[in-house]
This record gives sequence, structure tokens and C-alpha cells, in this order.
Amino acid sequence: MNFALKSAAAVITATLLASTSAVFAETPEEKGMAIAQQTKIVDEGWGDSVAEMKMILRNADGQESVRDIRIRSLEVDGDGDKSLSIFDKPRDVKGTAFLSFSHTVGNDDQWLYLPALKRVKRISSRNKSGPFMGSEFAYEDLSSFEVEKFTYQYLRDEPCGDETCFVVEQYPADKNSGYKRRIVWIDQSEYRMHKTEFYNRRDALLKTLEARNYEQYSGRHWRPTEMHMINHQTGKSTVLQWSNYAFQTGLSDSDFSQNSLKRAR
Amino acid sequence: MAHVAWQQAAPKRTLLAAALVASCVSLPTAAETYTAISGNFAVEGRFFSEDAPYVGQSSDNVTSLSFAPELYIEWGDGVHSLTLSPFLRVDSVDAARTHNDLRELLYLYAGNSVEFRAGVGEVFWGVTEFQNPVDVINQSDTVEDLFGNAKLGQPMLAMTFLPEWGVVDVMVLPGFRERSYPGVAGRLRAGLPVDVNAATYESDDEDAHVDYALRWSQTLGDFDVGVHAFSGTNRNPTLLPVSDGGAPTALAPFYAQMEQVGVDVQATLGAWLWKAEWVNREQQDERFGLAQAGVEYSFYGLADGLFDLGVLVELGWDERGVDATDNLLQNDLGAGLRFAFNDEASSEMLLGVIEDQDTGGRSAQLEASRRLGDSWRVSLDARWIDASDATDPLSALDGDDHVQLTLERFF
Repeated sequence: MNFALKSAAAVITATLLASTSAVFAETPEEKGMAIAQQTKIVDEGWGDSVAEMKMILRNADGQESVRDIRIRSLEVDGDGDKSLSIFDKPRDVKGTAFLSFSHTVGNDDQWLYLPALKRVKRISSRNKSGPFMGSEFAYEDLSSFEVEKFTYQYLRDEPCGDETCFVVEQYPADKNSGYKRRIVWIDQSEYRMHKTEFYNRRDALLKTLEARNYEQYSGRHWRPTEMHMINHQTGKSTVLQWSNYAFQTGLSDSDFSQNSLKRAR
Repeated sequence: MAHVAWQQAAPKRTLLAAALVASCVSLPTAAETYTAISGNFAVEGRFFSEDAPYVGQSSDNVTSLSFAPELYIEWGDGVHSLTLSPFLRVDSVDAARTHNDLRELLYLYAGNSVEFRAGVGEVFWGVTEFQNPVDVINQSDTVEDLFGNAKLGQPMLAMTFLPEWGVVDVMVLPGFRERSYPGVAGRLRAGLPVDVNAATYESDDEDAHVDYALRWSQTLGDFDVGVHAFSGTNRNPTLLPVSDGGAPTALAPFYAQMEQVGVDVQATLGAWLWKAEWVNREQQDERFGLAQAGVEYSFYGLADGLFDLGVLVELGWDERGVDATDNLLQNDLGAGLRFAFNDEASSEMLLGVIEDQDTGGRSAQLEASRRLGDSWRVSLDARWIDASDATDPLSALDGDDHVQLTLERFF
């Protein structure tokens, strides 16, 4: 190991020690916030990604229906991410596309492309708590995680599978959120979300989300292969299956415009 | 008859489109192309509550089939694409509604800062719901939809520039499409049928007149803004009575030249959508304004999350007032309720009412639909019309209340 690398390693070790000790010196609110910031920091620099998402809806009787969606995402420095989703199934909405600019503060900007009318419609992003395409995922469950969208409280450490997780309570800053709070299990080795419990406005447990089979991309960015959402009040569930993930595909701002929305296939 | 006129015109138009496409495309090799086929079949039944009011009209209920496939080919890593979308309808009653159209045969070059389109295509401009005064590029296929939601393919050469300060569309529109009208036997027409073969034009170039359009659009925070200019043939004709010396026997479309500038703007403020379209048009030595403006508010998660409800109100305005015989919504108040059920069948229902503030004429419309399984959709549409003032063009449809049931299969 040459000197430059050694000193870089020393700096990193010192930084980690400093931040760890800082975490211990903090209040539960500050520690919760620090964990949230760290989940963003460890994933920073993903740039852009494309992926395919299969959504399997199951009602209480076990009947299934499927949605196929392709998602392109772009990391934005200093603000929320951009995403463009293209619907392939169900067939009657095939070709419909959805463009979203999420913001750390204030309303997101959202546009919908309706292929039958060749029309792009700017839509209200107020509908946070409504179900996405009849699934158990609300719109807010699928929007990108931004530190500023919540306040935090660290609760405890707890084993999760082979890992140890931070258990953190998150309180949505947006009054239009359907939740009073979420409790999130985040592993301490890689800051991956393992489980989230959603509590409705009346503070009753509404849903539980589990993320499974994480895979690492570009040697750095962890993404789950499956996400299971169970609604405890209706007995319905939705599974998200992710496939064909690719990072740094060369997408740029011009791929996330109203014009690209009209052309999306 | 309309379908005969179309069949005669079709080879010319298809050749033009093919020439436009061929002139600018280097054809792809099979290895690097992506091809997708999609579309839908539909069967439709239309049931009228009263017998046909006019001579020649059939009182029979209508059965109708339509087919709308789309072929999409992409190459060069998505930079080049070609879209082909023909449309075909067969109608049990109205020969003019049995028609076909080339909705799209469009080559697209999509660069990073510029796009180029050539062929036959469809363009939508506007933000409002009940009508779109700024939406002037494509002709309406009115036998498909009375209120202009179905369009005929328009030959076009279009450049789109994408500078920092917005989107600039420059369009050259060679060739004009005549509006479709119900035939003699068809319902939802005026007392006299429209003879599309008797169409006349202000321009000596008739349907070969070359039109031009320019539009700038941009998103500025919560505002989406568009400004346009158009010079060419007005897609919306004036209908003039024709006769053989005696009483009029038919109506003939007269297509005037027009020049217009217009603005469309939508403000998206929380759950409120404020929308306005305004046009200033000069046509046959007359200059006048047209507008459509209104507001929509959405309630989310009503009845414990069962459905979302959008409430909208819009006013249509035409500076010419009741003289605007080519404009159904010259001083009309429209209101609508949009129900979106949060179920896995994506059930939805739209209820709209329009009242003419000059004549008192009213119409109401219900559109409800839901998905069946993965690939089917069933729709129920109903329209009720109550207009007795003879100066209101809507009064011609007073006896045409109907219910329509549609089953679509998507692939």
C-alpha cells in the first residue's frame, strides 16, 4: 500500500470514527436525521438508472393482476430526483407515460402523457396517499426518498436477518401524507431499508413493506429485487419485482422533458 | 359520400406521406431495430331514445366495429423511429361513418437538442377540457367524436428546437384534410346532411394549400405556457346551404383561410388547476377573439379512499357572440365531475353538463369505463341534449339523445 492510499484510508477511518462518535453524542432526533442523511450519502453518485418493474396485485381471495412498468431515473444535485415511467401493462394503458420531478421542498412537478389523445397533461401532485394503479403502494411510497421530507427519531438497534438494523421513526413533513409516521429498519453495514411499517393518520398500523434480495450495482449501489407490501386492514398485498437494472446509461436532463415524455416507448 | 371522397384522395395523400418519409430516412438494418405492435379492436352499440328526426335518417340502433393497430419501429439507439397507425371503422347504418384514415405514418428523428418529424401525424395543443381553441393543427374526425377528440392524420414537416428557454416547434403543413360528417342515414347531424363533395375553399389552392405554424412552450415553475401563431386553412368550416334552385337540399363546407395567434396556460397550484386558452383570429376580413377558461379542483381519497373527485367549471367565449355559427361553445358554461375509483380495474366516470348562456340550450354527458381482466375495457357513454332555440346549432341534435356501449380489446 503506497503512502497516498494509506493516508486516504486513514482519513476515511477517521471520518467514520468521528461520525460514529457524533451519532452517539446526539439526541434521538439528531441520530435519526444522521441515519437518513447517511442512506442518501452512501448511494450518492448513482447518476442515472433504468429498470423494469412488475407489480403483482393480490386481493384477499388471492386473485392476481399485473402491471408492467419501465422506469428511468436521474439523480439531481441539490434537489429531488427525476423519473419517467412507461406503462406496458395493463394493455389499455399501454403507452401511457408519467414524468415526475421530485423536490426536497414544496410540491413535486408531474406530467402524464395520454397516447390516445397525444396529450401531455400537467397533473396535481397533491395526491400523495392515493393508491398507485389500484395497488397497495401509495404514490408517496414510490416517490424518491429525500431527507427533507421527514423529521426523525432514532428508536433502537435491532437484529434484522444476519444484520443489525437501526430502527428509526419518520414523520412526514407534508400534511397531505396519508401517514402519521413510518418505522423503518435500516441495516448498519450498507444502510439498506429492510422493512417499513406505515401508520395511518389515526396511528393504526396500516401496511408493512419488506425489501428482499438486495443486489449491488456498479460495485456500490444496492437495490432490492423484490418488495412486498401487505395491507393489514384489507388483507390485500402487492409485490414489486425489479429486473434489468442498469446504472450510468447516459441519460440526461433532456431525457426527462415533456418532449421526451411524448416520445417515450 | 365522405368515404368515397376519402378513397379517391387516399392514394395521393399516402404517396405524399411516403415521399416525405423516404426523402429523409436512411433505412435501418434489421439487426439494430426494435419493433412493437399494439392497438385495439372495438365493438360498439349505439341506442337512440327517439326516432330519427330528419328525412333520410335511419332510426335503427347502430352496431359498429373499429380497428386501430399501431406499428412502431425504432433504430439507431432510439434516435430514429417510424410509427404507422391506420384506423378503420365499419358502421351498420351510416356509410359515411364506415371510413378509414391514416392517423400516423411518421418518421421521427430525436436528437438531443432538435427533433424532426416528417409524414402524417397528430399534434395536440391546449390545456382545457370542454374544447381547445388553440388546437388547430389536425382536422376533427367528427363521425368518431362530435367534440373533436378524434382527429384525422395531418401531413407535416416539423422541426422542434429544444433550447434552454423552452420548446420551439416550427411546422409546415402541406395538404389539408376535410372534416368528416355523418351521411344522410346517420344520426347526430343537422337537418340537412353535409355534402362533403361540395366543399369549397377560400384559397385557390384548395386542399393543397400549405399552412404554417409556430409554437413556443415552456414550464415556468407552477405554470405551463404555450404561445403559437398559425397561418392557413381553418379546419373548422362554415356550413352553407346548397340547392338546385329550390329549397336547400344539403350543406356544403366552406373552408376559409385564417391567421391567428394564441396563448394557452395552466397553473398547477396544489389541488387547483387553473386553465385558459385564448386565440385572436383573423378570417375573411374579420378579427375576433375566442377563449376557453376554467378551474379544476381535486378531492383525493373520498369515502375512506374509495375514489378521487375532480370538480371542474369552464366558460367558452367567442367575441362574435351568437353569430359564431361555427362555434358550439360561443358563450357556454360547462361543469364536470370526474370520478376516479382507486380500484384495480381503474374504474372512472365523467359527468359533464354544458349550458348555452345565449340560447339556454343544454346538454349532458356521462362517460363511464372500467377494465375487464388485463386486456379489455368496457365503456358506457350517454348524451342528452335539450336545445330548442333554432339559432343554436345544438338544436339540430335535440332528438338525438343516446346511449353507447363499447367493448375494447387491447393488444
